[in-house]
Parts: sequence; C-alpha cells; structure tokens
Amino acid sequence: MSLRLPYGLGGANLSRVIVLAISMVLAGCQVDEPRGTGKQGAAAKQAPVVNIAFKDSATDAVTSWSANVVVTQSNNRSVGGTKELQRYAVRTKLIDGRVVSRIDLPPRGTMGARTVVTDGQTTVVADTGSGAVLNRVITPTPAGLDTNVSQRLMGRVSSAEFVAAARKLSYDVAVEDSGRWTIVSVPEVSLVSLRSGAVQPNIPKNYQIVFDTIDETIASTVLVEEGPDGTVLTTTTTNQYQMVEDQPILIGQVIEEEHTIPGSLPLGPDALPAEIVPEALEEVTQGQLEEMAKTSLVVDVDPIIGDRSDPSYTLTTFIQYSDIELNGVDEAAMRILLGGQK
Amino acid sequence: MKKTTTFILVTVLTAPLAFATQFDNLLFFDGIGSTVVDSDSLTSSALSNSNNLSLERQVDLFRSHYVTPATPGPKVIVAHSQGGVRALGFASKYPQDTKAVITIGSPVKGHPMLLNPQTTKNKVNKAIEIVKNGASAVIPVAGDVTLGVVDQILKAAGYGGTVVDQLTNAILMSKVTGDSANLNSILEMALDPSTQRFPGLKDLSPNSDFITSRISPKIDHTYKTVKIHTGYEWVWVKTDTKVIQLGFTRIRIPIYGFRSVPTYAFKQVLTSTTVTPKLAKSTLVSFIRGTNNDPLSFVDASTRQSIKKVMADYVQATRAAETIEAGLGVIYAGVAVSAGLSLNFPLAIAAGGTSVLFYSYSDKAGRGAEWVENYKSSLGDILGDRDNDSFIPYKAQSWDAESLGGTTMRWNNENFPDNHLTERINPQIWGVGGQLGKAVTSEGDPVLRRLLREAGLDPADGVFQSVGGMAK
Repeated sequence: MSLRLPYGLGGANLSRVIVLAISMVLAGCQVDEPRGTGKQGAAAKQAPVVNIAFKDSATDAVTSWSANVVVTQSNNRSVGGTKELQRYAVRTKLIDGRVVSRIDLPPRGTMGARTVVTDGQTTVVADTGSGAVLNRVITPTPAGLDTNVSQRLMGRVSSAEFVAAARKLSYDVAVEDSGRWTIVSVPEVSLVSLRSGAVQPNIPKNYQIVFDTIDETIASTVLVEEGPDGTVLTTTTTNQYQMVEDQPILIGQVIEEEHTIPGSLPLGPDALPAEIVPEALEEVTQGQLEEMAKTSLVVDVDPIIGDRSDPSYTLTTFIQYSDIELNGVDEAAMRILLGGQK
Repeated sequence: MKKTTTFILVTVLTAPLAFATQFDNLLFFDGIGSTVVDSDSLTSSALSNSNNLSLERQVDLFRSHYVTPATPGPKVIVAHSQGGVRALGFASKYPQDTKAVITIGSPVKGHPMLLNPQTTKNKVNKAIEIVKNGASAVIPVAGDVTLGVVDQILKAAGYGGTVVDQLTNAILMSKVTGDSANLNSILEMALDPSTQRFPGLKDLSPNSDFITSRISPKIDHTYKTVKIHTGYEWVWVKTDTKVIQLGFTRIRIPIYGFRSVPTYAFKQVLTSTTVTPKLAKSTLVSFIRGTNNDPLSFVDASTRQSIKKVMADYVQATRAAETIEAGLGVIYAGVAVSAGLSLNFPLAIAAGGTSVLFYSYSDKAGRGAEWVENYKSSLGDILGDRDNDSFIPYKAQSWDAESLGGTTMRWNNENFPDNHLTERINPQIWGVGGQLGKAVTSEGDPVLRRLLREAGLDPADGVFQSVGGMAK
C-alpha cells in the first residue's frame, strides 16, 4: 500500500508541529532544575531523573540515539492534573546513509505491545512479542534530506545560516536591542501560499522563530492560526535541554496551545457556581465527607476551572525524554523488521 | 433500526392470581414515565405521565385514590425508581397513612445527573463526539479492518445505521428524541426552562424542593463545591516568563520547572451539620439496591452478542489506527526536522503539517478505543457513580436510617446483581412468578416476602397482591 503526502510540496497547512519540527533540533532556553518544595517535596515521589549516557564522549559524532519518551498533557481549565497520552521507547540510527527509527509502544487497552520501524521509505508495524508483521506501509519521503543525526539531536545551529536563508525568502528579520535575540517572522502571504490543498481548516496568520544568537539555539517559536469559527490558536514551543560536556542535549519539549474561542457556553440550571477557583474552595477531610454522605448525596464533579461560560482553554503538552543514550543503538534491532524479516 | 434497549416498562395490572390474597393496604409504585390517574377519582380517565406531574401532586393523588373510608389502613408501599422517591414523600407528608416504605433501585437521595443537567448533557455530547471522532480517525492506511467495512457488515446483517449509532444507541445515549429510555431525552427534559414541564423528573434532583422539604434531613438546600486532597504529582509548571521587547512587539517565552503539586478531587455537598429527620419513627423503611452496571444487560443475549462484536471491531480498527498513525506522526516530524536543517522550508512545513495530522488522528483513534473498551465506567462517569444499576448510582439508592428517620427493617440495604429493569422481576426479590405491579410470591424465599411479613402482611397462601398503586 502506498501513501501520498496529503500536502503537496507547494501546499501545506502550517501548523503547530512546524514548531516541533524545527525546534526539535534546535536549542531553546535553559529551564529550572527540578526541585521539590519543602513539605510537598518530602511528601511527593522523587522527580524523574534524566540519565544521559554516551559511548565515548558527548562531542563525538552522533550516529544513533535512543530514549524513553513520555508524552503528557494538561488543560488549564480541567482539574484532572496531567494526563499521560503516550509512552514509548524510540531508537534512531544512521544505517547505510538513511535514518532508521524504531518506536516500541507498550500494551494499550486491548492492544498488545507494538513496534513501528521505518527507514522513511517503508514503515512496518509488528507485534512486539511475536515479531509478526501486522502492517506494511510505503511512506515515500523526499531524497536529499540531511541525515546527520547529531545535528538533529544537539542543540546548536547556525542562526546566521537560517537568517540568511530567511532573508532570501523575504522573511522579516529583526534583532533585539541587546543583540542577543534575532526574530524571524514568516509573512502571512507565505504561510497561506504554502497551505493550498491542506485538509485542516485553520488559517495561519503569524509565525515567528526566536533565535538565541549567543547560545546558537532557537529559544522559541510562536504560531498564530485562525479557525473557521473565529477561534484563535496560538502555539508556543520551547525546548528543554540538559548540558553535558558543554553540549545541550534535548531532554524534552513543552508545546503550549492557547485556544481563544469566541462566544459563551450555557450554564443551565446547574448547581455548580458560575466561576470556580480551586484555591478558594473549602478543603474537607475524608472523615468529614463520609459524615456528609450519611445525611445527603455527595456528588463527584469534574468542573471547568474559572468562568464556566468561557470556552477558551490552553492545552500544554510535555514530551519528556529519559534514559537517553547516544551511539548505543544495536543495528540488528533496527534491521529486524525491514526487508520482510519477521 | 428499531431501538432495542429500553429500561422502563409500563407494567399493566393483570387479573388477580388464583388463590392470591389482595391487600387493600399494599401499594406498588412505578417509576418515571409511568401512568398516573390525574384526578382525585381513581376511575377517572384523565391520565398523565408521571414525568409531567410534580411529585407533590402525585403524593396527594395517591392519597386520594388509596386512603379512603373503605380502605383507611396505613399503607405498605413497595416502590421502584421514581416511585421510591414518591413513596418516601408520601410517608413524610402522611405518616399516619404509612406503615412501611420499601424501595428498589430508587434515587432516594436524588439523581446526581439532575443536579447539574447542563454539565451532564455536555458529557453525553462529548462522549458521542469521542466515539465518532475515533471512527473518522480510522483512515484507509491504518488497517485492514476499516469502519466502512464494519458498516457494510452491519447493513448486510439488517442492522442498519452506522457503527457509531450502534455504539451510542447501545449505551443509552442515542439522540433519538422522545424516547424516555435514553439519557439524552432525560437531560433535555431536565433542561427544559419551563417550570411547568416535566416537574416529576426535575423533582428527582438532589436539591429539588420535594426532596429537600420532604426527604432530606439537612437544613441547607444549596449544594456547595469543596475539594479533598488526594495526593501529589510531579508536573511541569510555568515558573517564569522571559519577555523580549522588539520595538512595539513583545514576545514572551515561558520557562518551565518540574514541581510537586497537590492533587484534589472535587465534590458537591450539603455542609450543614444540623439534621432533622423527616420521617416518623413509626414508619418502617428498607432499601433494596441494584448493582449491575453493564448497560448491555438491558438487551437480549443475541443483540448483546451483536453489539459486542461491533464494539470489538471498532476497538480493533481504532487501536490499529492509533499505533500506525502515531508512527507516521513521528516519521513525518523527522522529515520536517531534516527538511528544516536543509533550509527547505516548504518541505518542512508540508511534512510538519502531515505529522500533526497523523498525531491528531492517532489521538482521536486512541480516545475512541479507550471509551468503548471502558464503556461501563465511561457511562458511570456520566451517571455520577461507576457503581450503579445502569441508571441509578449505587450511593443514591439508600439513606442512613438514623438521619432519614423512620425505623430500619430487619432486611435493609440488600444488594442484588440487577439492572434497572430486572430489579422489577428478579425472583430473589419478588419470588418465582412475582413482579412489580403483579404480586410477591413465596416461592424461593424472596426478600420482599420477609419484609412484607415484618410489616404485618401475612397471606395464608403466601402470595401478596396489591390492589393498586399503578394505573391499569
């Protein structure tokens, strides 16, 4: 079965994963080291530690990379905390001039563990336990792409080259007064022209890339889109790095999608208050709750935080890498499912 | 396709069983959507749906019908569903006319769904959207079993409709209006802004005037939202914002830190500690509870098997789609990265957009699969309690005797693995051959026989038959 790109080279929907695509490679700002907060820290589980291993040195040329990935998401209008969306192990290796990637997904619901392996041309899905191939899909990707794995994984990039290319395309380039920050703005006309044939209805209005010219990384990207119902979607992506031997190693990303939605939601005759502020709510104990349950119905609620008539919300997705290993991927694990082998 | 799931039966009184004893003071009360004679005269032909009469009105009508000079004695009432709330209201208002109230699968504390009907309706709409989006996310590349194929199989088998219709219909959430047996209809009635319409249904809200004045022992009637600490979790939290000023433009770059934060569960409660029981001590009370929370138990075995096959096909297709589409999302993200490094912006943008599309499909497929795989708890979250009889939450089916008032009977808080329909006919409750509106028999030592004997009814032939409580 073959698959054609739904977007031609001349048409695309500039969406928030552009941010992911480009900024994945390029360093963002440094972030706080994880730390507990006193009593809370003592009560809570230990914060996850990111282990990073190198075969020889962090400055060697990198030809393979592996990590465990956890993708979580939170909604600022929901009390549910952070939800785990996906968890998998990923391995990437440069083999015979092509980048081969393997993703191992754990069991989910009634589906057993699955493995997806691709070399960009062929994608194979197999049962992880038995190795039985379940699906084989052709995924043609354009030739001549940069296959330097190390560049993809290390933080540094030549902002000067990007800026030069951007100027060639007549993108707006501005430098902040201190000289540290360079901002490239892709004009709306360029964003729209790349969108022909797109499936998604959002119209890209504004796209900015902020370069840190001192660290030679991308600090952030911001994409603004408008939906057919007037929703404005602003996507901000930042990368998380850990410095090892003076090399920034990507350990995670934060993608914040702010949905500003016009109109209001009906409140109905509900007993919930029109506005819910969790910090202002009375806290009760389990004992008090049990006592109340004897003399009235205690109702579990999952309220919308803030003004319940306001439909706007912000989704924040966190992609966290752990147990990162450079130059440690076994080639056999990558070839095992390509070429029809079981 | 004709709807195959119903959970409210209007049971018609049959001719008296041979050799059964008819008790003037034994009444059977039925639930929502049942027929009530809307006149002080029991022989009147003015009939109303019990949803359309306030429970206060219904209590007075039943008193007029069954407490007469000819039949004056205090009543023993066996009541199902809404009928149980009516029965407790009757006992509260007319204690001298009530000997005992025995409820079965009744929302005697009110139904939590009706405390926040708009929020619950949003949940139902969201659930239908999740199932539909899951189906639409199964694009041809993702698997051999597409939902289009499943729809064809269903059509060939004469079921009609689509997979999504089958699933949402089966789990009682179809948007077929006018069908009192589905959640959407009940919520639409509850949301009707006119106070004149559907008062009998609205009276089932925990903070309705009827429940708060006749049944609830609490003084306060306003539900308050509170929180209870449940633990801690490590989450990314925005700790600062770096602001870059560029002429008149400000660009904000968020800074995140990993923090341990407390987690909470949220509840709605009546917080007053003052309790005034509404039932007289002389009233005997017993609650029988149903615990079968599988909505597929409402349909016959053959239909259930068909629906389960549809669910299995749906899950297989959506889980396969979820995996493949997640993989494709990663692949095209990689293409976008490589293109970006090559300064090939058009390709980077195209591949990035493709990646996002596949991630989005994968997410929708996964959510649909999860919802259907966990349909019982998915429905329970809408009803307000994962423990339920497929309609009434378990925690709403009984009161603490000391708070409510009355005197608890010897057999109280008996649980049966019944759904909201089978509670009306389970032989362990009604006896072999017994059912709501017909009789309680002695065969099989049903719990109702023991309770009715405790209430002072003791037929020589062991069969208890009521003369009334349900319209003919």
